[in-house]
Amino acid sequence: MSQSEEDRQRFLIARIAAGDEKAFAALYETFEKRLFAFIRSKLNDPNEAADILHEIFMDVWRKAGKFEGRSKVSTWLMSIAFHKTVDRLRKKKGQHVALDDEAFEIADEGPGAADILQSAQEAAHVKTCLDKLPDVQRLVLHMAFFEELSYARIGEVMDRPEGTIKTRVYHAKQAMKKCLGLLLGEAA
Amino acid sequence: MTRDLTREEEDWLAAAVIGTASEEEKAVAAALLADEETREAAKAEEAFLKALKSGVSEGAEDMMSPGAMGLQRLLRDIRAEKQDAGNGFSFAALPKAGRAFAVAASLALAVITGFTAARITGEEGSYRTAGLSEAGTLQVIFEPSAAEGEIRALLLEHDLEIVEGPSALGVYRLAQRGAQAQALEELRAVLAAKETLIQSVEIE
Repeated sequence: MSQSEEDRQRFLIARIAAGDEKAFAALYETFEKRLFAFIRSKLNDPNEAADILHEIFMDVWRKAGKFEGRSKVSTWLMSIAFHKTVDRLRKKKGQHVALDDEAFEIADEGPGAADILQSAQEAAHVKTCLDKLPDVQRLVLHMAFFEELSYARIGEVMDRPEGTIKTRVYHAKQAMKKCLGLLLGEAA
Repeated sequence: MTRDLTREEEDWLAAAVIGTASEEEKAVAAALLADEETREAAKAEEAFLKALKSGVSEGAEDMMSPGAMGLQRLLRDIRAEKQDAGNGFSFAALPKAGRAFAVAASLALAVITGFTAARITGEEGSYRTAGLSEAGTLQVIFEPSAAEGEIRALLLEHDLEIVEGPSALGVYRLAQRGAQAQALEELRAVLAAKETLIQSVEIE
């Protein structure tokens, strides 16, 4: 993203803090699709995702004056979205949602690279495996591969060190490879 | 002789595929793809990463976001908050179930009655819906016991659309397409007679 776009977004935040509805609408139009896709990467229910999106932008309206500009506007928004989504999952599932590295077993003898690749060419296989990933792994893959955020920025969003994010992406990729290999085995 | 990639090498390739790699990382990724020792594994990893990126993006891009409807809902709540603040009344203090009902009912009704044409008009940049009557609007409060389906049917029957609402006190502003002043009074009387659905109805 260009510096002028970041400047524009910061200007919008400043205007929102002053109560400017047009600036609010402009920021919404800039981010609503991205944030919605981000929330939906964890929540299958579109109505619930729309509610969270609403909460995020209500927070933006109320808290724009507290934005200190230490992070990018997009990082700030993603961070709000991340924490609200995790909170919702906690309430929904009534259980702890692991934010730290989950124990993850990787088979010593995983599927071969050729099998993984053949399976990955099937879009349906990729989707099936993404849906099977633990919530946090699916989120980091979304942030990395769709949002195209660096590990450092994902760390800012999730409030975790960059090294933790690297590990999480690695585990998520390994889980995808394992799943894709298994799916190909089932299809054969 | 070939070998598998290290975890760090996989990270460099991932950064190159995602597009976040520095120039140095890009050079390392290119070298991995060219080096006889790592070429096979690097190409397989790169292809896997591209398929993964495509799969993640495809799912995300297919999602229908709330769009203009979502913005309309936000602006309505923001204005209600401002009004409440001015009145010393807090929307947030309302029972959560009541708020949820109001918002859900508003959204559902808006969807069904085609409240999708939100656009910016006029010099002030205010939000209005397209194609609504200029003859006047009705202020309506529905009975809390009114079912969503009953309300929806009523709005469709009389070609009514939600212009605004619900406010913090549950007030909706409704307009009828092409309504004349006299017809509006008749409509008010018809709605007022629906005692099981409507608590109060007034012409603005």
